[in-house]
Amino acid sequence: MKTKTGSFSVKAKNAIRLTCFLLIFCVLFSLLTFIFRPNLAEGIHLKQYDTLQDNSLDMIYIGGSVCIVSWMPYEAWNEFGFTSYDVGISSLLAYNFQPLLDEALKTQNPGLIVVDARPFYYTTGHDYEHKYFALVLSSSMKQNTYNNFKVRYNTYKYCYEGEDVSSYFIDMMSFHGSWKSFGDQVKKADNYRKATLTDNPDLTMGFLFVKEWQKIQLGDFSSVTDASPLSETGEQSLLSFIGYLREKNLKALFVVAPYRETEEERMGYNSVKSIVEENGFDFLNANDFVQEMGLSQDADFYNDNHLNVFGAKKYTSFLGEYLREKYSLADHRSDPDYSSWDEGFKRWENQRAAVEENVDALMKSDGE
Amino acid sequence: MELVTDILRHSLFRLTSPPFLLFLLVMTVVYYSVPKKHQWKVLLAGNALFIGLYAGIMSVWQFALPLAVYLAASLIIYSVPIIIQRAGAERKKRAALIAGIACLSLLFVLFRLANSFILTINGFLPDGWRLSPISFSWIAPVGIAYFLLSGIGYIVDVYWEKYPAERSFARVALIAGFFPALVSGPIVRYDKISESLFTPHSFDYQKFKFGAERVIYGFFKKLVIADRASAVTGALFGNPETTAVPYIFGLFLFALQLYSDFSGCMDIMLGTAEILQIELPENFRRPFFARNLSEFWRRWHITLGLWAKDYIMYPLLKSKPFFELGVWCRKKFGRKLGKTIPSYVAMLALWIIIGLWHGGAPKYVFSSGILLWITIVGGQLLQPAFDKLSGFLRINRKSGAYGIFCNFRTLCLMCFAWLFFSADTLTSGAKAFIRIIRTFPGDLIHIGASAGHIIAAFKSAGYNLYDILILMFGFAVLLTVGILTEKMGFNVRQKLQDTNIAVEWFVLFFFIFFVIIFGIYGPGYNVADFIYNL
Repeated sequence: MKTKTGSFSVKAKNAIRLTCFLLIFCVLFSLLTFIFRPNLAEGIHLKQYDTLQDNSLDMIYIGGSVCIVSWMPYEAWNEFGFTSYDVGISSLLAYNFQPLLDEALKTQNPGLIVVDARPFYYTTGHDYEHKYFALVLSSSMKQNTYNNFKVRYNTYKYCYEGEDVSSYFIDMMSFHGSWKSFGDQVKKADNYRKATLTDNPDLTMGFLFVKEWQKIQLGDFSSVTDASPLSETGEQSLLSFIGYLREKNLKALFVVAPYRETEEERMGYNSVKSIVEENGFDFLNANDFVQEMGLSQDADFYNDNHLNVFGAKKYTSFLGEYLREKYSLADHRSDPDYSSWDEGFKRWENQRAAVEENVDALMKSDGE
Repeated sequence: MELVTDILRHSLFRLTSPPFLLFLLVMTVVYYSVPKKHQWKVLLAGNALFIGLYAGIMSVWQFALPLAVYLAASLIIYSVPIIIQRAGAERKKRAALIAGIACLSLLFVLFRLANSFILTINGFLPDGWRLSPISFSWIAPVGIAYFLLSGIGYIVDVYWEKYPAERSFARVALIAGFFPALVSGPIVRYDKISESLFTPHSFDYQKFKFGAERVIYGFFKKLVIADRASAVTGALFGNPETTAVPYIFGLFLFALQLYSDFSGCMDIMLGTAEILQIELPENFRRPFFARNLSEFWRRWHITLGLWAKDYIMYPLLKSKPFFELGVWCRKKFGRKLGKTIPSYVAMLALWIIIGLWHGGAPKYVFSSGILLWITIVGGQLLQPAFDKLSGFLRINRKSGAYGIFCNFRTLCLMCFAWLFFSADTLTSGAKAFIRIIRTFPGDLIHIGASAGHIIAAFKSAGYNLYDILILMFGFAVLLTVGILTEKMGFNVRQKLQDTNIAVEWFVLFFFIFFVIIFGIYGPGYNVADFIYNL
């Protein structure tokens, strides 16, 4: 009997030891995963989306970097009174639209989805150059969901095929290489932690401020009516996404935001346009309205592909007006339930003014 | 569900990838949960799963065909000894033996050597006459080169009546393809392993811990050292402009890479077996402490060396032709040479077979066979001269310094062999050797440029100073553990166990997270196969 008790006690001790060891391992592993994740501003914005009050958005603008630097949700609130959020990340790939939107719709029920149409053109199915941001997307989305798994699998399938798929499901495996900048990672992780707090005052509704500026040369391809085929993956992703929008009974507008477009790209967008319109959705290539927006190629861009903070304001005004007229989005400015948007706008305006000042200084210094 | 199936289908099952760790966890839980009399059946199922998963599960065929080859080979290994045992006449026994060995050798040639032979022959043929390579490799189960040798050993043992043939096919199949011995060996002996395979085992925390520690150490060797060094050696050897000093540096680094890779794999596998309380033979015994090449080969890939001696060299020496050769040599060259010449010829056969076993290409036959034979035989023949020389120079051969010199000399000789082993072909190995000779004097004069070349190789691999420090740390750990074990008889795991739990856990967590953070794996890196994965 004594031996049995002794043996039981040894077994119990060992079981406790093993459990403690595994617990410590899990804690350390989670902590390191948190530190080693990229924790980029755009990832933070995706995370901040979860802090929004449920069903408080009238519109979601989904897309790649163009979406997050072109559409100013607070500016649109101030001018038109509807609420919106930029759900996007740099280099968003066409096949990741559906899981990203599906995840976003779990807490919101917007009346309109504005879709950045460019990724349907640039997604090829061999998207190795966009792999990093695809991984950033999966690490920034809500974890352990079907949509997150889907994004991770897509990343493996289209950006890295041939390697071990399982490593795409463990962020530590994807990002452990960032040990070379461990100090920066710790700082970024701390910023991330602060920024994703529920009462974070620096919420920009997904808009990313970029303190850069560059002169560009815009082309006019409004007369180009020919269409060039999309890549197989791009087209399939577009059709699948359209099917999803229909299934969810969502209104959607596909948009190409202003940038230095090429003729070849315009032909690709014409393909997107015909597919979108054939399926009963709307399409708008904003490059055809550069004059109406009052965009200046000398002042309103920060590189060939993106508007700067001045350009984004003009684009938001133009597109906001278009949306209000065409989709009758509600004006909540006098609704006390939305008072937080007024407060948010004031803080955001200060941030914007600071960035505008910065960009202005850049332009002046270049002029000198 | 479709997504889950897709993810599973694309999972790459390798020793250093998460699916293997999951497999090991499931195996351990199931193994210790089932009634003890069924434990060996769990291992058998583990074999089948391991072989199938290693081949891949993109299609049913990809999973099933290697499994079928494994079962077919197991059937040969099972039935031939029974036939031998039942055959009355020696002639029939011998015929069964030869047929069994021939069948297994044919499988080996078909799956491992065919393409090497074709590629070698193509080298001599003009355009238009070249043969197209046949790829059977995807059908070959992992570790076929190892379990066929084990199987041949078993057949021969039964023929020699060392022990009786096993009556159960399932048991033979379990021993033949015991999964921890598949990826890079060790080559198991049926009589030695069967007892621990079929003995019931209760979960033992101590053994589990020791096994897990060994697995972690294996991961450290493979992912932190070997795979990190691999990118640099690749950059150095792959650049036709690499001159003598950088190339020689690359060869020493390759020695570190090869040892960390191969022994790392052994640690993972032997640790896995230890978790399951199955005793597998050691395959390494700190080879770089060897004072000469013969000793090196008694410490490196131990089970292959022993297998080759037992089943190739000794039977050859006892055979009639060798006996007659000995008689003839004694008449012609006297008693001493009459005794040694047949043994050198048998050794040549042994080394050629080892070279062929490494892959069949001429570079393997030369670097892992003939060259080593020349060096060992040459060393033995010149031994009297060396003895005289060291006497003349008054060298104390028992001193530590002389021991270190011998260790270094052995390492240099092995690096010379690995120059050809690491090259794409024998010819490119020879060209590299000529380049080393040609550029060596210039490199000594422009040593700064050589150092720059080495740094450039690190940079081209995407490494910085920290990576160099990590490699140095890895080397220091290997060296420290080696010296403690070799010179002081230190059992590191036992010592760790004897310290207080805080120190023990600190060391364990340190190594686990060192591997997780600094290992070369994950997106952007390929899951590198083990070099000795035959």
